[in-house]
Amino acid sequence: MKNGKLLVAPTVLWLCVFFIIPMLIVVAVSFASRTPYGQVVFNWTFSNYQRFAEALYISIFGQTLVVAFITTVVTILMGYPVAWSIAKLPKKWQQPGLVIVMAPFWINFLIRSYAWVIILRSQGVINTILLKLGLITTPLQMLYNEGAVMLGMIYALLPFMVLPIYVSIEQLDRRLLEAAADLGAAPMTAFRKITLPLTMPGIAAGTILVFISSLGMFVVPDVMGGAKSALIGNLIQNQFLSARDWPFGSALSIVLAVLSLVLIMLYYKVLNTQKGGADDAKDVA
Amino acid sequence: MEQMIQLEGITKKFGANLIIPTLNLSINDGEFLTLLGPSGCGKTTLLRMIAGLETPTTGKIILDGKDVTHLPPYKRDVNMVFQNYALFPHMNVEENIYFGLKMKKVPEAEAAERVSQVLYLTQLEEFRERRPQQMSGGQQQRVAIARALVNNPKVLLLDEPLGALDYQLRKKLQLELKNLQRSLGLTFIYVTHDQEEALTMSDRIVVMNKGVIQQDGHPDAIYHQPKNKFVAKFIGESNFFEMGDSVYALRPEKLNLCLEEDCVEGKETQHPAPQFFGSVVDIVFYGTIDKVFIRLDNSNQVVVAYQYFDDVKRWKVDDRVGIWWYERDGVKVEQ
Amino acid sequence: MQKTWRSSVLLAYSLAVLAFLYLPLIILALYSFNDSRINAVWSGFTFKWYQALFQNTRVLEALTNTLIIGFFSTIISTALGTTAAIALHRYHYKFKTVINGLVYLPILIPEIVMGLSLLVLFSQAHLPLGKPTLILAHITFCVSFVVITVGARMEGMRNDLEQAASDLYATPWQTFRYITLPLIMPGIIAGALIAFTLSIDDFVISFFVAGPNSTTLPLYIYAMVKRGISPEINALSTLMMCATVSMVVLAEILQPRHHHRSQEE
Repeated sequence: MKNGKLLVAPTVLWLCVFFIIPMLIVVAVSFASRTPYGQVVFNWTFSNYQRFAEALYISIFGQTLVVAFITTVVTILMGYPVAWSIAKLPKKWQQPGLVIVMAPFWINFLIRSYAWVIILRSQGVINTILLKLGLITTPLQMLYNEGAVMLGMIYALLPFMVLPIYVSIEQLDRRLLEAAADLGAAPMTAFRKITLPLTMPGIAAGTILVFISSLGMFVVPDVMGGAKSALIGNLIQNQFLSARDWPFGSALSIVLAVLSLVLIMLYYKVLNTQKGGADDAKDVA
Repeated sequence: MEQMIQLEGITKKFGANLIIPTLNLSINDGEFLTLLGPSGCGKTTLLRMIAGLETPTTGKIILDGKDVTHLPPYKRDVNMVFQNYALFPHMNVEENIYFGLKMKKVPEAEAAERVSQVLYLTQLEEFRERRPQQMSGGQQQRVAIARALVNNPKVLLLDEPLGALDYQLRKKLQLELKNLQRSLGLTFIYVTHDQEEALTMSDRIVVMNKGVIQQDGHPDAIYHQPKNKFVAKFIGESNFFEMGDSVYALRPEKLNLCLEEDCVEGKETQHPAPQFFGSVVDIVFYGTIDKVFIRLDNSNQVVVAYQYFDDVKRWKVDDRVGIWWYERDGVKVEQ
Repeated sequence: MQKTWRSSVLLAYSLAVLAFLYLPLIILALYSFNDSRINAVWSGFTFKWYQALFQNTRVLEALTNTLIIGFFSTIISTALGTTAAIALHRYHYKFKTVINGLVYLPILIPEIVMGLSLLVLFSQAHLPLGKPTLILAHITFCVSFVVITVGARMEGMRNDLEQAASDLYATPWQTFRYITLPLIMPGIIAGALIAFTLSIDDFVISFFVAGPNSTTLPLYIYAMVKRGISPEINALSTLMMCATVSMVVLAEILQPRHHHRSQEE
């Protein structure tokens, strides 16, 4: 099996051809311009990146960041207690508990967003009930606004937050809390002084995962936000499929990719410290 | 006696780390040889080189007159009992034991015969259909031995095979293993860091440290005539006394004590005159003995002497004592 | 006492969040059985939307496309990913971190970026968009998941088993055939299941690289959602949800890590 080492070659080659090269082409295209008919001309210009300074795009970037930020905060508030409850379950129920929380995540965002459309639209479930009860006389407009987009994002990404937090809580050495209680800390104090700092890496990891995912999201705003609410994802999609301005779309996606990768590197830093902590805990045990 | 294995000028490097500097060793046919040493001393690496799981950086390994240095493990007539048994979890006991015979393409009838023999020998007949995960540590250990023995290897290699078991079971299996080896007349190379295990089971012990053989000999010789400080310290407890240019090792049970006032210079005693004087600093009760710790005068060295109860005297902290021994008990050791 | 009310509040909160996660999906599934076309009012139980699906040639075509693409992407990505995982586990590579990075990047990069970059590649290479481009794209995002899943299984396997086989006269090929392969098989199956799930469920990347005659089920659902609400979408979505979730749960059961962890406890 002297040549066994080469078994990794097909995959490496595949990823180079269908992942790295496309990325490089996108980088190249981001420095190109387009003809009025949508053709790409390679003339090495920065103009696509300069366009980010236009007020419209600044507001879209700002909007995207705001949505991502709020989504992240809300998923922490919703996800932490859930992760905690799962970690407190008897050992053999923890895995099933986690699967139950994670399962919806595997259903694609399109179907999950569509589920909310059924509930929120003007002839939807909520409006129908409220009308029947006589609480309202005209249907509420709950869909196709920023609130709906935010709701969809939170809904879509919540499992992403629960998983890393669960991992960090599960790794927490219970004896530390017992020690804290033994030393006279009230439950809330123990939580603030021991649990929260020690599970911070999980929160940080979840934050980065959710934040990155919401930056690149275009399905949820497309389905639940209508035309009114555009985020970077929709802008990129638009450049490629309707506006046919590939150079500008490429520049946008390069920025998105770089931003995501920077955040991912941060994530790995966090993950490593988390792992280190876990190993220390094992050494003690 | 016929030689089964010769290791000639073996060295082993892992990257830049020299694990084993030049090492020579011959192992006789039918011998129970133990490689003994602290973890990281190179004993397991040596065993794995004999098995073919590692290749020596330089040197030759000769098995039964044949150079096997560069033969892969599956072409060597030696078998190994792994530290954590390494039983195949997806096969039952019988399939585990059959595995080697199947790979060697031993005819079915003969294979079946050999498997039932070895199952009988290791008292595993009733467990044929069991999966390793459904068995206790001791039973798994037997399967590992059966799986190796069934191939009629020229040499059986055992890498801390009892390490994972509790004390009682270990004692029992030590005896079983020794009896098995004796009745089969097979060469065993046994790796352990447990000196007691080595002393009870082996025909010959090779004590290793940092890849170097410290002493090679009969258990009795290893215990009673340690060649150097390392061996004396690693096997049993030892006290070291510097006398002139030499260092003498003395087992704690060989040290005798007398009250200083009874044996100071000039006093008539019925035993050799004390070589050292000191004060008792601590006494620890150990059942049949007291361990008496004595700080030697004019040094910070603390030595320990075992004193039996039927001795006339029980010692107290701060007693001033003389320490004496019979000349035959002091072993001159290399530094 | 205090402890009990605290944990019951926590439990209630967690159940509420769980309801938030599942209620929309349950409502979606429920309305796929609603007799009314204007579907907010419940007007009786029916299977007719499911029947309609199976008579709709465009749905059936999309289903066929989805399965063909899923089948080929799964086979190829599983073969690629498994060999890579085995090699990565067994051998030392000078550029191991680089290779690992290459494997993880496609998972970490936003899907939309991967989708459009493949679109750009195919258009630069003058490859017409269609089933082949979809298969190429799906293999690309599936292969990393296979490498990771099989790799996790290999990680969980003690390496002294292979050494023991070798000691028992098994050649490297026999060791692989009789020891390694059976032991990592659950990981390979789990990897293949995940690849298949990802492929049949993918929308974002397919959205960029699909051609006119290669509509998959998620793309079909998107087109229908854009046109308006209909009970057929509910039915189709429900079927897809069931397929996805059951496969993921199956893969989860086959995953070794959790098993090991519980054994250690």
